[in-house]
Amino acid sequence: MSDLQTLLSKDFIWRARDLAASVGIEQVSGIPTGFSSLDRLLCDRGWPRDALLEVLVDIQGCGELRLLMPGLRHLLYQETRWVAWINPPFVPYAPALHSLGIDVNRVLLVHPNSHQEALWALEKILESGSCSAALAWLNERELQDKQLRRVQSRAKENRVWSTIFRPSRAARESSPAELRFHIHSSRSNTGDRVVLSVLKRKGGWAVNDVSLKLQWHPNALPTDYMAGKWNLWRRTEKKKETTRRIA
Amino acid sequence: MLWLCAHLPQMGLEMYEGSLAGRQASVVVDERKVHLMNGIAQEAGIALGSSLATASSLAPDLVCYKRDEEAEKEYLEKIVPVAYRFTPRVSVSLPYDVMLEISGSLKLFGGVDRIVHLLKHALRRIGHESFIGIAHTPSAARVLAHAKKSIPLPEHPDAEAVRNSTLDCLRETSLKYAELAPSDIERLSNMGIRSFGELLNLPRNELGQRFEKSLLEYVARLVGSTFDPQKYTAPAEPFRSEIHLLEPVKDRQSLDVHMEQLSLKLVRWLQTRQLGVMEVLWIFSPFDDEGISVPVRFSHPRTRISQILEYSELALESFDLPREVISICLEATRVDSLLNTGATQRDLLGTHEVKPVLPGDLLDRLTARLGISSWQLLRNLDDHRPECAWSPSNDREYGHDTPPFFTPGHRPLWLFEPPLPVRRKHFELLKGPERIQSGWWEGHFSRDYFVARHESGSLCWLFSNEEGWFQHGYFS
Repeated sequence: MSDLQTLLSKDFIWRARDLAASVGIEQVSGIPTGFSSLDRLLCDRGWPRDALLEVLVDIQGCGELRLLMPGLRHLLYQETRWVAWINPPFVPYAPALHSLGIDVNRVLLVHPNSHQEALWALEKILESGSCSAALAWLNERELQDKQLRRVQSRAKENRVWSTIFRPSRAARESSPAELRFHIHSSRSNTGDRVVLSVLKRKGGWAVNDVSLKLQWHPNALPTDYMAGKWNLWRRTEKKKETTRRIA
Repeated sequence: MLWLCAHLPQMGLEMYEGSLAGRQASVVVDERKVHLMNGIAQEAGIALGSSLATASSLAPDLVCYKRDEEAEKEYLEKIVPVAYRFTPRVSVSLPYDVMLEISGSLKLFGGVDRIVHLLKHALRRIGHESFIGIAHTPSAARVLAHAKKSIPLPEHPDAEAVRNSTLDCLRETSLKYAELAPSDIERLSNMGIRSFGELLNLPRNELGQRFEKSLLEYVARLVGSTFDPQKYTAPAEPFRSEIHLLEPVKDRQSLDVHMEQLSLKLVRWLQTRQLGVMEVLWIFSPFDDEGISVPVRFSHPRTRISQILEYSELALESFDLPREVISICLEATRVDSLLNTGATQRDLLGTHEVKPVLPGDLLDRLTARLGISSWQLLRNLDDHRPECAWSPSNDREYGHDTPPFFTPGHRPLWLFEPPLPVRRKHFELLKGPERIQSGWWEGHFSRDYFVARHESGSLCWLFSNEEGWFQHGYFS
């Protein structure tokens, strides 16, 4: 065993996991996902900054958005660019976004009237250079492979983390997306875990059943602030009480 | 004082023809006599002052416009913004002259020649050929412009030099360019006085005895021995400009040419006021019907012609234009000062405001193609009622985000608007209840909110009230 270790430490041994380094991608160039076990699976050690991500999910409410939120928060913190939501199925609820640390002031919602308009808007958003991420819900029936290909190439050119949400039957077709996730729904979902399979990733095989722990409220500022105030008040009260006792 | 007169001899015709000039013989007719004509009409042998019947027999496909002095006056005033770029002292002189006092602008623009060049170029871009006369008095400048004469001037001339060379130049000029009654000019010519030089050599007192006082006054104004006040025009406030076409336009390319011309006028107009345009209205009218109006909105004040045109083109895509357009109109429906945007968004110490910069180009593109309601910005409102704790807006003044001071319970990422009635038996309640009530003054309600799991496994936000169970969102 120790022989193997010494062998591996030699420089002339090339290992497949060095793929990323060998093609000239920095090891830590992705957006931290907020889940260390997921970071380890991804080629860029995080969400790709310039590629298409496909999230395959059949029902709402199994943690598919909260999976992306830590990464989105990080991106909004790092960059001054905006995040566009194209054709969201419901209203993205501002107080919830705020409590997850998302800067609501840089969220742009686009409501196109048709599939063509949605594609047009998505392309313009990717080309504009004013958004660092785009989340899109496209009409699956009219969606064509060449359209996805175009989205992927625009995302690459303009460095936009683009995410498209599709139903799980799309897994049977091939896709130009660099990263494909399938999110499992579970009958015993309690909202604190999300279970997913990585169908396609750069520099690795598919991985099944990755379970990630979701946070309800990461340390959002107002709660910290409240707790601080509360502690301060308690301390002064205690002091008052002790001085009263001494007296 | 240094006066520049831009004489637009063909304005009465050019105002009708726009850039279509030069395809067909056309004339402007005043009291059934030819008043103005284009080059083709001249080649056909039509003479100024000939009757309409003669003219149409010489050129069978003659296009003829009736002179409308009111419209000409209005049009001339619309040209003023072009000149206003060079000096604030601009006046119009009917029928076809624009007067500029440029002594204060020489240094800024780099000399007389440069101003003349720029002005001629600017006028040509909106479709007018111009002749420039420069002199020390307005009247003399007009005479020189009409006579198409120019005096030799150094780059930064002094008053005395201008006066002398103007008078020298006037001596050679024929009296027919004088702004005198035709009868006076004829009388003078009968006396053998045919040029300004001969007129100015006459003793004034004797001249005054033979002619009316007005002649003496004119001479005094001409040489500058009396003051000649001009009424400066201030640019009119609302912007509206129209092009009436000679023949209907059917294809987009030629429409673009006219749209560019109108936009250029708008941009000049904006520049003189240090304004940016927030909303414009295009009106395209066919010959015999109501026109269609195409509004184009911008997220922040725009000043560049390329942007105005690009977003207008996008907006046009979603409208059905009339098959044949005979007149195009551009109106600036909302303008805003440039001072509130961009470079001035800093405080005293030069630090940037925290407020994020709107992706204005993107939003304008979306607005133009998909409509103003196609996009929204989000903001938090500090309110405990779930549906009142957020608000969408289309406003660029969106930045009044008031995040809730304290969020008590779980809030879903997807909200249903409005809540969806559901059947209780499909759900399993996981957390709750959280009671949310509102006061009687704001539409009283009392709801118990639960985090619940649907049979399929999706996590939902339910509430129950006296009307039953409702789903208000998904914990996605």
